[in-house]
Amino acid sequence: MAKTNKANNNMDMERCARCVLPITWETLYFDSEGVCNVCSNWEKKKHLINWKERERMLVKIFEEAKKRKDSYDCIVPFSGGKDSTFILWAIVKKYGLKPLVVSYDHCFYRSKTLDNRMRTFRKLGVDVITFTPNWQVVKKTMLEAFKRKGDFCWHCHVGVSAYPMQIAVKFKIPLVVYGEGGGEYEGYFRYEELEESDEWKFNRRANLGIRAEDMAGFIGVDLRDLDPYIYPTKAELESVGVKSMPLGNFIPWDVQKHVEIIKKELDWKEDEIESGYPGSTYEKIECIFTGIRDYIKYLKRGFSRVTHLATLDIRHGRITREQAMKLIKKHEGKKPKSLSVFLEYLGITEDEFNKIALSHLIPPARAIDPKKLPKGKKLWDQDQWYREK
Amino acid sequence: MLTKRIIPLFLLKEGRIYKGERFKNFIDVGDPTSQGMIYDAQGADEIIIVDIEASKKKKIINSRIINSMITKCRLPIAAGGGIRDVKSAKECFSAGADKIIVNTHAILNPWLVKEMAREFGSQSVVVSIDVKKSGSNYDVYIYSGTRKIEVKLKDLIKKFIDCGAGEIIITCIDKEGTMSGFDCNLYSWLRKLVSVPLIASGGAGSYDHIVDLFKESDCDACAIGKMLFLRDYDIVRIKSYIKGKDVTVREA
Amino acid sequence: MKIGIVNYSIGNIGSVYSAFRFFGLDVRFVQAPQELENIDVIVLAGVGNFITAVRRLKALKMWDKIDKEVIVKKKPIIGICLGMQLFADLSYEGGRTKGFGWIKGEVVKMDSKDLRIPHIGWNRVNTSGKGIFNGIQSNYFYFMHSYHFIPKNKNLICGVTDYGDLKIVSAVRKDNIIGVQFHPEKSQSGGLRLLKNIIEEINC
Repeated sequence: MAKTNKANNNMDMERCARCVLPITWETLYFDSEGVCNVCSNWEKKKHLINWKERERMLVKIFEEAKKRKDSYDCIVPFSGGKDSTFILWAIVKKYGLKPLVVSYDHCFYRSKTLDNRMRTFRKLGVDVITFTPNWQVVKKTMLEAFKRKGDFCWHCHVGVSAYPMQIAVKFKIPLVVYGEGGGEYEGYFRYEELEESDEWKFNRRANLGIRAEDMAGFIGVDLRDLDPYIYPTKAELESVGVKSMPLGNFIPWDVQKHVEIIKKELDWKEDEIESGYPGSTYEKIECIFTGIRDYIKYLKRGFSRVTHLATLDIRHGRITREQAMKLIKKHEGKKPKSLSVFLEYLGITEDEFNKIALSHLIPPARAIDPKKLPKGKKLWDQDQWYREK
Repeated sequence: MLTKRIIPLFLLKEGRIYKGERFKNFIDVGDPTSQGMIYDAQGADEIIIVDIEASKKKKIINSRIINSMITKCRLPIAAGGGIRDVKSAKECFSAGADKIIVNTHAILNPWLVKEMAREFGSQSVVVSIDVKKSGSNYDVYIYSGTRKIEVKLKDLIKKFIDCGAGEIIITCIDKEGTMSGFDCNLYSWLRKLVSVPLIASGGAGSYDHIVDLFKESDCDACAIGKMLFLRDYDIVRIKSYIKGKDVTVREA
Repeated sequence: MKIGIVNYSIGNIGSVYSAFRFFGLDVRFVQAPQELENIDVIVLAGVGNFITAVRRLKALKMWDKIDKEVIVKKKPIIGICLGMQLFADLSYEGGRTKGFGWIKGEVVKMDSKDLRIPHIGWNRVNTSGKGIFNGIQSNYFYFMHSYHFIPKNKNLICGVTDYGDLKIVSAVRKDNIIGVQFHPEKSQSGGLRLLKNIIEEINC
């Protein structure tokens, strides 16, 4: 293991001159003035995209969908987080479509989110399919993906992408509407690109470089045991004309405005997470392992959710760069209490966890000694979570 | 301007891709067609696929696998593994390979490269040499690193270029799978000898390793294995980083 | 529209086939002169030796037939890499060999003491952005060749690529004759888009 230094020793990484994102942020690079590509892309979003024209295109797409007069106008992949809740609200209330809600259950829903979901479904009045995968298989994929990629959420990324598309093919519903289009946080997709195929996008980003066909060999199961994770073939999608569409490519994404709407219209409630600013938030509250995910990211890349939130605040003009650095120093890098539950699910010790996480260190971030990190607060609902023992 | 190429390296064994360290301790890292689709979508510049058991087993790389890849992938594929003559090379091209890679059989009989270049054109013939550091020199190995052969690397390279090799790929066995960085000294030295495109292989473990390779040695391309299969890197991220460090690279 | 890829055992034509199939087009391999009668668009692809290519086409009795289909019947033809070079008067690869001569000019070895030959990899194609290059976001395409075509009539050039001090002609167009030095079937989405554009232009 690399020689470790004091905790928080990655504050000195090369960072964007504007927004404080460090060089280890996925797909980041800086221009000659030290400004990162996410900031530049964000500028483009504000100035170069003709949003009026985009909304016109959107309305046209929706009119076409309604004209089919099928049982459902579209599919909305749904988790219950702020983004999918807003999209569902917009589809039903603003654009007047009849969706089939398809929710892939990643097995980590928290109780406040389950309540949010129920209120949303009942107030909007929608048909919902929730698919819960085989937990024994999920655990195997979690450990395998954690070892190979330092990211245990493979089943979730892939399930959320592939499963709704399978339902689109099975139920013959051509339009699938999901969230923000990318470009907001990373450089995988550009706002200008409207035409790339769904399979291309899935292979490029969503599956972490592992498809079901690969994972089956890794965990020693038949491909059919990973059925929900199999992306439909081009031929299958074309037979129905399935096309998925990120709403964020057609309307400017304003998270705070969206949260205000869903709180007011659907009584959507915030929750606390382990890894953000203290207090309740609307960010990533639906999953019990947000804290673990962010902890692993911190060990790998030397930054985590607080950095992400701080940069959003900078870009929206809410705080200065100096204030952001102070917030990061104060709140980032705590060891989550939920780790004990995570270790139990995966059947590994904390030392094994540390070894795996640190093997995924992304230079120029330097290794941090997890034993020296301060401990976070336990979440109010942790004792309610499912336990294996 | 020609851009530097980032090339995922697929080592094929029994129909799956494997990854090891210093040519040992291999583990399964996926299905070739599936992984091909992934790296194609990520904007890889090319894929190299080599059957590491073919020469030993007196076979050639499985045509069905190459064929399956080309129906799903829209990028160049260089294939190798057991290619010993024009006939076996032709089988590879018919299956869909854009370039063929020769290693053991070419080193044992460099005349093979001349025949291939004459039949298929230099641009389609890639010569692959595996080396291990020995003091200040490099020993050449064949049969997937299991047998050392008494020949000077410098002489071998010159012979291959004279015979019409279109590209040369040099794999550093000591570095392979270690993620400790490329042997930039080796490639800087090779750069002066090799007047055809030169591909480095063995040791990529971080973004800066790749930047250092291109800046110090001016190789034309690098092959990457473990970083992609067993770590949280992808082609989009690699290209973004190295572009930011002024390496001439095509956007992913 | 029926697309016929000439199969003369030179290089990988499987990918060319696969690329056209991606668009659901009716594409097939042809290796006998009479098969060309039913074809609406001829595709001449290939990577290899000019002299071998000419010999093989003549042995298959395809040479004269292709010439007739293109010049007399004005059938569209798409030449890729070696295929484009065959449009020339002559090539020096493997010895002085005559090509179809549809576009005056010669195919010569790329020669520059500072450059690595063959020219292999992704390089930029400079175009007007119109016609067959319309709407392509990335103008990088994959090249692999040691010889290049220098047409006499510069007005027929619709794509040029810089390689060191060399200016490589990367695309040509003369009525129904379209040629590209690079491999669109190996150039990811830009390449696919180009093939789509070519077919759409031919369809008009």
